[in-house]
Amino acid sequence: MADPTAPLLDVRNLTKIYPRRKGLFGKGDDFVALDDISFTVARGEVLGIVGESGSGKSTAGRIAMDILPRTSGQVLFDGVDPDGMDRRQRRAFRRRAQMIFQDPYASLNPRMTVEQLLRTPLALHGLTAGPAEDRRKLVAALDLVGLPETLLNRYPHEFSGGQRQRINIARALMLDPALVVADEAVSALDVSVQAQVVNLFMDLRERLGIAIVFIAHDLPVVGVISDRIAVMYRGRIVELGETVAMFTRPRHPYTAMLLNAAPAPDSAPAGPMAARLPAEETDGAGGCAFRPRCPFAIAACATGKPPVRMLEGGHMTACLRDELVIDGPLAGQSCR
Amino acid sequence: MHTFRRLMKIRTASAGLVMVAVLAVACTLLPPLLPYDPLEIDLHHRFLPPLSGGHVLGTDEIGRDTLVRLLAGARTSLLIGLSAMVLSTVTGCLTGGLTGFHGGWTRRVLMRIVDSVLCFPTIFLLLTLASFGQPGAPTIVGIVSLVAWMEVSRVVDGQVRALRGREFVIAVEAMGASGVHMLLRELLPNITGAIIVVSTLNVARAILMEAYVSYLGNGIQPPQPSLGAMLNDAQEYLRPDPWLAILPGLVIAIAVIGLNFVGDGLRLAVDPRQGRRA
Repeated sequence: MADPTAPLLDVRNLTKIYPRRKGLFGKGDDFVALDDISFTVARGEVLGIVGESGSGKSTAGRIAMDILPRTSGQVLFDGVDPDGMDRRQRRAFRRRAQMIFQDPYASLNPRMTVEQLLRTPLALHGLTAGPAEDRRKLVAALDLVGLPETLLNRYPHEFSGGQRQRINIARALMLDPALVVADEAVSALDVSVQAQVVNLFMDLRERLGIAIVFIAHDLPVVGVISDRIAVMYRGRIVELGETVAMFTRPRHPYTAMLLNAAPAPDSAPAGPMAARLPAEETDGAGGCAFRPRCPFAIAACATGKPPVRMLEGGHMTACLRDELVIDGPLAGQSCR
Repeated sequence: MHTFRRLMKIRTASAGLVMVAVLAVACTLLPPLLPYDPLEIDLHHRFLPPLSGGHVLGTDEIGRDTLVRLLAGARTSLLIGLSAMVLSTVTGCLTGGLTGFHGGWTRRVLMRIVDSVLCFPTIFLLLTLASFGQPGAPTIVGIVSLVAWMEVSRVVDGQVRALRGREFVIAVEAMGASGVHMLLRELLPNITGAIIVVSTLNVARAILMEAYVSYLGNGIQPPQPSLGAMLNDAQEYLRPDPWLAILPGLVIAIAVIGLNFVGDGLRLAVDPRQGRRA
């Protein structure tokens, strides 16, 4: 098959535009949900995607899963674009790439028992192997996510949010995926439950070697699980790099703002960074989209979209100001 | 089973269920036990009032036993109601499921047709259609279904559209489910509640429509008994013998009110979330 060193998922220049029309004969006023984003996910790697709501992170995940059409760009899964796959390749893609959604209740059919829910992926892919063998698989999957097999005959509404998300994860695992896209998979959960589910993801990645695209709006949570992080703002990736590097010295003021938005027990009251403008539509037309909220904006930021700059270690940023040094929460710690 | 238990907790619904059940049992089991035939004419005993001359509910203008005729008429009504319901539910689910799932042009065309047909007053549409066909039970079933499927179709279309974008459907789509699987296994099971409600109310409507059509002479033909035709016959004797009109009217009312109670109760009972709140 594909080259084992090549990335499992390779997203290139993805753009998604929602045409908006004002009135019946009104002029088009397009909404750019994704503006030319590129990222890769290696086998067994966890890539975090963070950004506020409306930044396009979920759109990126859904296009990567080929459940949302794109405007332009390429998605390569094992070197093949789902858009051009034949039947057989498509089937394999649907088996090897799984998705977990934000709302753990809405993503489970309320009329099905856990057993029926977990059997569905097997049935869809013709992987049933007799009742006894199937049941063994179901129990094994439940065991992986830490749920007892006694739950098999229960319905989704009988579970708590964390348990439902475990059921979702178990269902995704039924097909032995190589990639799991977790779209805000822990955002709807209580903080303590969130930690348990994040731990579960880390455990699965370690035990099963699954690559994970972990989409969330909470940078500290993403930081715990991710090898690398992509920070999105208004449809663009403004910074992408290794987690430690990003937490030590964020290269984009927006990343710094997200890092400082997390209250740390010993942190001083937030400085000028917290002076955030409401996320209104004035997205710095023509220039850097973050300019209106950026405390470090200079005149050059208003002229043209800032180009993506490559830094050492595969780090990328879309901020013009190279000389800027902002301390992240890991700054000064000797874990370089 | 939970649904049934919840249904029985709703007072009107359980009353409705009892009404319909008593009627259904009576018109299937009772006629063979009675010594009369619904077509048997007895000119010596015309216009007997109820509880006289061995006729529990009396006799009509040509001496036929009213009770037996009522039961036979009710049986016909219920059968027509059920058949029309099955036919319209199946058609409505198929069309509504397809349009709701695929959307686009098929949906726009079909739903506009439905809208424009529903613009006509049902009675006139029914009578116009009835005048084209051979009068009789199958024709009534056909034309009632022709009107009723659209209601079902609209409900199913709307529900499917509402659920189509829900995460649990997208989740199985992302797992590689086909359109047929999504529609039959994921979507339709989640709207059975709505379908059952519309279907139950459709039975009631079909019974009422049969009565209209037969009353106006285009339905079940004499001498076969029909509740609507009996009402029509009774008109001439309304002053001296009012029970001839009251009794068939009462049976129609029992059937229609009972079914409407059950339908409205089901609306609450099939949705567990609503049931808990109630």
